[in-house]
Amino acid sequence: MRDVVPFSPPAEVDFDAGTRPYWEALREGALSIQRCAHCHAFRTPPSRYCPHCRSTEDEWPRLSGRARLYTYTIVALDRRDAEGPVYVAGLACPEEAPDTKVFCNIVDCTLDQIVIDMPLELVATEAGTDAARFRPAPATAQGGR
Amino acid sequence: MHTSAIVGIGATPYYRRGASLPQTPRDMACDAIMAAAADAGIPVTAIDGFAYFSNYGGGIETGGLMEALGIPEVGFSATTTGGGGGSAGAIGLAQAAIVNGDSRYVAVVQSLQQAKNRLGAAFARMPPTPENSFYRSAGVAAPGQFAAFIARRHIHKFGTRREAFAEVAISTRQNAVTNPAALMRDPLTLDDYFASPMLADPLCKLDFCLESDGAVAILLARADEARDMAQKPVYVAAAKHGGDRDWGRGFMWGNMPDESFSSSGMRSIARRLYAAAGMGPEDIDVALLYDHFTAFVVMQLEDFGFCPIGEGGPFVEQGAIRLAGGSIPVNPHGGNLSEAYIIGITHVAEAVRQIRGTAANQVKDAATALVTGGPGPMPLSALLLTA
Repeated sequence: MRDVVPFSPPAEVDFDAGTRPYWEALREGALSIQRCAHCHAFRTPPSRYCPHCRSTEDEWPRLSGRARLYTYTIVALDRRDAEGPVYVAGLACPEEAPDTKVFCNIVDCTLDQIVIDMPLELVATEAGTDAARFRPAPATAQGGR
Repeated sequence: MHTSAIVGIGATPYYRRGASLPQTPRDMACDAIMAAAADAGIPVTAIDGFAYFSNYGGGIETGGLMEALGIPEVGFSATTTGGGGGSAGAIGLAQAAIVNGDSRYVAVVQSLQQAKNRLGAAFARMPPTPENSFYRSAGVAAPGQFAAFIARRHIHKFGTRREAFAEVAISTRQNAVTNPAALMRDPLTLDDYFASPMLADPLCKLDFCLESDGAVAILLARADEARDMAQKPVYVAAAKHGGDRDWGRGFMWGNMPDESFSSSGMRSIARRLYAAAGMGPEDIDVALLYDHFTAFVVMQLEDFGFCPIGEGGPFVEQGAIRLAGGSIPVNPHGGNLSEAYIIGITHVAEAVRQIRGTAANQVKDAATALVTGGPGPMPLSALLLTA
C-alpha cells in the first residue's frame, strides 16, 4: 500500500487581516474558525459580513481540534511515480462547527484507515509550515458520537 | 413566440493542447466567425454584436476581432462571469442583445489555446492569495481535485460505482469513434478505464476531459428573420444562467451544504429553464451535458430530472445515455471527454447540428436539445433549443 504523507513542498501562504487568525491559530497548533459575535454562527471562508445576520462583529474561538472527515481525494505526490507516496486532501467539519469545512491533509495513517465520517484530531503544525493536518482520532474522543 | 434563433455555426479543426500553434487564438476565432457567417449566408461585416463566456480561454476581445475582420460597428459586447458554467448562458446574452434591439446578428465566440495556459493547472499557476491559501495549503490546486471531493461524496451518499463514471467515459468515446471531427476515436473498454492512472482518487485520467485547442462561433438572429435565412432555424426556447447561494463558488471552493455538495449545482437552473420553456425532461430528445468530469454528467442527469436524485449511477449503468437504445442520448459528438474541450461551446454547435439533422451521429428526428454549462463557480447555465 502506498505511503500517506503530507502535501509537499508546502504551498506559500498569503493572508490578510480577515484571514490572519486562522493561520495564527494553526501556527500555535490550534484550530480556529470565524464565528459571528451576534448570531454565533460559524462560517468558512472568512468574510466581513455574517451571511446569516449580516453582522460585522466576529470572534475567533479556539476549537478542540476534533473534526470528522466530510470527503477526500488521494493524489500522488509525484504523478510519474505510480508506486510512490500519496497525500490525502480532505474537507474536515470541526466538531463545534459541523456546517463549516476546513481544507486539510489527513496524515499519520494508512490508506485503508481512511473513510468518510471518520473522527479526526488536529495535528499541531510543525514550525515553519502552514497547513491544517488531521489524523485519525479514537472514536471516544468524539464525545460519544 | 420564439424571439431568437441560431442561424449559423462555424468551427476550426480541433487540436490537442498546443498543436494549434503558430496560429493565435484570434486567428482561430476569426476562422470560426467567418465559417459561421458563411453558414448563415451573411457577410461577416453584418455581425454587429458579440457575446462570450469564460475569460480563461484568453486572447480574444471584441476590438481585436472587429479590427481583424473589418466589422464596422457593434451594439453589444458582453460576457458571462465565471468559467465554463456560463457557456450555455452566453447564448442568452446574445438573445438579450437581439430582443433589446442592440444587434441584428450576434456572434457567441470561444477560442482556446492551452499551449501556455493549461486550464487544469489554473489554480496552481496563480500566485498565493488570502483565499486560495486555504485550499492550496492542503495541496488542492486543480479542478479535478475539487471534482473528486464531490464525486467521493456522491459515492458515499448514494452508493454510486466507478462503473457509472466509466460508462460515461466509454459511451461518450463510442460516439466519438464515428465523429470525424473528434480528437479521440479509439473505443474504450472497462479494462481500459480501470487501467487508467488515478489523478485524484476516485477520478482517473479517463474521467477528465481533454485538453484541446480550437475555436467555435455561434451566430444568432431574430426568430422572424431566421425563417428566411440559409439554414433551418434552431430556435432558442429558453436560455438561463445563474444559480443559488448554496452552490456559490461551487466546486472551486467546496463550502456547499450537504444537499448541494453531492450535486451538479444545477437544480435551480433546471427549474427555471423548464418553467421558461414550458417543458420538462420528457420533452428532450438529446442532451449535451457539460462533461469536464464524468461524475458531473451523472449528477446533471439527476438535477435535470432524467432520473431521481441519487440514481444517476444505476441510470447510466443500464445504458440510458447511449446513442443506440438509450432513453436520453448524451453527447453524441463525443463531448468534452472525447471530441474536444473548447470550454463547452462545442455542445451548442452539436445541439444545432442535431436539430438541423446534420450531425455525424444523428439522433433520429431530434427536435429539442438541452445544452448545459458547468458546474463551475457561479454562474451555471443551460439552454433549450428547438426546431
